[in-house]
Amino acid sequence: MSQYLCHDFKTPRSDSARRLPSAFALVPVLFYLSLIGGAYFNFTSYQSFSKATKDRDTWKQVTAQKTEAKATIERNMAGLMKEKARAEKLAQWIEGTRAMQPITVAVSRSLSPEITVGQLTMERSTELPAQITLTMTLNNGTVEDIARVHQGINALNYRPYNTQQSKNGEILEYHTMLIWQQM
Amino acid sequence: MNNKKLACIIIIMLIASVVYGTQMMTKRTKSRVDEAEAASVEKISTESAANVANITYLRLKNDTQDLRQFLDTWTPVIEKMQSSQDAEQTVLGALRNSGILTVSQKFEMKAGNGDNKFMPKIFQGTMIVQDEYTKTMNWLGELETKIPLMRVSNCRLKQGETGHQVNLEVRIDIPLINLNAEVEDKK
Repeated sequence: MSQYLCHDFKTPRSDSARRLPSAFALVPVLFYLSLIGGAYFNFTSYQSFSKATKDRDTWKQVTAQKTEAKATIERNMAGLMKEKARAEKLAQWIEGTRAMQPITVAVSRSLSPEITVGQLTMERSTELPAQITLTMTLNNGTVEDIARVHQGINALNYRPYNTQQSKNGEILEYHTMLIWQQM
Repeated sequence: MNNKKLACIIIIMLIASVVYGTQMMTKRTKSRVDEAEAASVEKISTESAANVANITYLRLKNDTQDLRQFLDTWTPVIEKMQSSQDAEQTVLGALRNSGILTVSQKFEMKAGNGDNKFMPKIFQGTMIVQDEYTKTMNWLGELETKIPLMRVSNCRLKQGETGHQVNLEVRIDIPLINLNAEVEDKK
């Protein structure tokens, strides 16, 4: 054992490093505050993030469903429009299919027995098939006969239009345009 | 630099990391909330468009009900007349059944008007018959009733060879309708 006692430990010593400024005492406080604040804000942000993600996915799904529903409706609508167009084309054709036989019979019945029909022609207009051009020649026909013919035609809901008649001896020539009248 | 300063710097860096991380998280959350809001707006817009389309569809369905009913009523008649053979047989059948004297008959197929895909072909026939007035008129009436799609485009009645007979020349058009045609509505 050494004979010399060492008392160096009891003597005051100067700091090995200089003290930090007292403001630096706030650093640990700030550290804990940042941990607590960070935890709080991250937690709330995470909750908002999760909710927003869920909402976004739900709404995108609903949007996709509605888009599909709209596309289906539009397809159905296109089908309806085509069906409508077909029906309109058919209706246009049917407009020109009204029977001619009743007109012929009505004209014949309107005439008195002593009158003979030389020729009776009915021609359907190509542009407006609902209109019929009626031309006839009557032997011994009179204006009264034409009036009766008009009555008979009117009873069938046709209206004579642009009527022309000319008498050449005993032959009466009659020409008119028959237009269908809506009921 | 002593250890205390180093420790301080490390702690300050940790604080900065926490603040940065929080900021990033907040930014990301804001971005996601914006996305959700955009999705919500799009959803409302699409819902509205779908509702409008549905209302338009229902209105159109209601408005075209009569026309579609009309087409449905005529569909069986159209289906019976799908070829020139169908049309010719029906016309010839009416001629045979009436026992009327046929002077001449001529049938031909004609293309429909322009780009009419609905009526691509028209069966056209010209017939001259000669018989008693009543029989001739009955035949014409029966023909028009039997083929409702038929359009008599021309009808000429004149005296026949004998006093009791009449001579009737009839030109008919029967459309062969394609019910599956893609017809565009031009309105």
